[in-house]
Amino acid sequence: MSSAVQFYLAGVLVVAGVTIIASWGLDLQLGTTGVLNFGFVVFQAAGAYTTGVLTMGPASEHPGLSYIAGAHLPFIPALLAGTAVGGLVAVPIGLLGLRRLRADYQAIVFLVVSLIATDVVDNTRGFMNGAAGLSLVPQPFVSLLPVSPTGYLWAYSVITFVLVLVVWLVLRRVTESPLGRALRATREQEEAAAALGKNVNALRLLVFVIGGALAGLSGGLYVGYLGAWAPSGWLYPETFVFVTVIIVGGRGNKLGVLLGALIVPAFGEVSQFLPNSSSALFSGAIQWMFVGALLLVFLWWRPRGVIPEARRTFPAPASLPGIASRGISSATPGKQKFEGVSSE
Amino acid sequence: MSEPGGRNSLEDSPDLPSATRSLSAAHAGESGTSAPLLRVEKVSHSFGAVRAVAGATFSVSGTGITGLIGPNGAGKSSAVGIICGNLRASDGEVHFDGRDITSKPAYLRARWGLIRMFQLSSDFSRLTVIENLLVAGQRQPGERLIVSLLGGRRAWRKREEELLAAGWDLLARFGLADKANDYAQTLSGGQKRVLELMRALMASPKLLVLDEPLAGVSPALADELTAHLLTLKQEGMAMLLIEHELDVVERLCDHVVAMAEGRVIAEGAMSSLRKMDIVQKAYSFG
Repeated sequence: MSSAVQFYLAGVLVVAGVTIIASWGLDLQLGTTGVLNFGFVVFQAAGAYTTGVLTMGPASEHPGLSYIAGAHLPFIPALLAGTAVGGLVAVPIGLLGLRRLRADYQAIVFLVVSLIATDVVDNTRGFMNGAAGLSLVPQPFVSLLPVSPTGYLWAYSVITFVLVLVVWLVLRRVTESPLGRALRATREQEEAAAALGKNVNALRLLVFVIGGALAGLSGGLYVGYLGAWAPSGWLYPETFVFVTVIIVGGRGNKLGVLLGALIVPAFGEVSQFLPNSSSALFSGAIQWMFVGALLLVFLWWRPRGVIPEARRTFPAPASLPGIASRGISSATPGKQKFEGVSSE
Repeated sequence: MSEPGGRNSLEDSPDLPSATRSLSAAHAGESGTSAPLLRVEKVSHSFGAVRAVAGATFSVSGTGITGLIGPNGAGKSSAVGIICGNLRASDGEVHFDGRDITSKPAYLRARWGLIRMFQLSSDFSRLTVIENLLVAGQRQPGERLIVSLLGGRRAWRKREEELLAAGWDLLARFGLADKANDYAQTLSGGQKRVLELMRALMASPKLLVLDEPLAGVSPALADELTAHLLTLKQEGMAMLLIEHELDVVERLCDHVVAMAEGRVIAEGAMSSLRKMDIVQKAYSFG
């Protein structure tokens, strides 16, 4: 395999890992809890900017760039800070949008927050260098990883996927616990969930913060790969790429969302091979059309995605007569058995 | 009708949902039977210019079934909304089990044992039947982030097993055990009402508020549900029943509160309320 192809593939893997982490964060909100966060990309941007400035050093070291909070932190603490800021930014926005509003109105609030955030950062040059954005973000672990660009990118993609695994394990503890069940109940019927003692506002804020933190983590990883970050890269439609990933993969199913994070960008890439794709403007527009068409196709014909949310089944106790015949007595007593649902 | 579930070793746990043990003493209201379990004092609520509840005052005993009747638009469902925290009282107070709960959110009232069943179907459609019950179980430590993240399954398995035992017990008792692992959305309308009743029981209610539980169900199922409610009553479950069918109210309720135009117009046994002019008038012109 040529070095150029390897470089391309390693880059695709990094972007896929970033997309998987972000999409899992949004899926916890949208798929598991039913919170329509149409401003999700804002939290990714918060993580990316934070990680970026904390590794770039003071703005005085970069003539022509203007930003706040510059520092020379190593990548890991900066990435953790980006994750934390993603979660922290979610608190005020969540408090603003999640209380006393129906889900569809919440979606509009978050969409508007996304528009406002882009405009504010775009027009405030002293904050994060305005519309031009940050550049010269140092490559993470550059002194530790292989010197060749391709080797470095392979190593970075491995680091990204180690984090994907960690996020999977953490999210699994949330979604496969009674907390996950309470979140799904909130999604189905918030009034009934409250009538059974669930603090719906607190649960929604919780997933808003966890999702925001995961978005921040993905943004930090992404800026480490790109070396730059600007408002044009986190416009509000970017959130709908993650929404498409979730719808295509399967809402509430982490494996499905992982698949979606591979399918959707790949589908968008197909547009690059169309004739007349030499024009960047045309190519970009076609890519959006492809993603939009894919979203519509799935909403119409397979709304639960490639791998729908798993049905959690529980074995009947041995003392209950007449239940074993339904095929649910074989799982270990006291342990959940998970089954996929095919065509419900 | 199914027979009540048998006693088992889990019965002695104070945390268990009501259905796994006799419902008599534990759910008769911890504050004793002499003081009312629920007191509604001069509560009001308006929808714009319409005063749905206008200074209603009544109380509900910690034992038996209290009926709440009235013609359409009498303010019964709004009163239930105020009692359960779904509507805010613009005036007046609500006291439950010795607490002033007037301004408390619905979820806290539920945690204190004030559990309601909705008039319209409110099942968790994409949760299985048994999950619908499990999610109603109180005091599950695994619903806290810190426990589920750091403690893992070990930290909440014991409580989960207790809740599962209680859930299966309820399913056997109400004849839905073979549907346990089906999505709630696949149940018939009548089965969903039964599921909601089971779910409410699973939440260890001190007072069960039933907003027209027989509305829209077939006569056969209505009879079955009525029989279930009678059994629960015999076991000591305190209930507030909002119902249109006065014959059912007469059969089930010891004490009945009649409302019209947002106010309480009469109280007493159903047989005596039937004879009151003010009640007859309210139903004739309501």
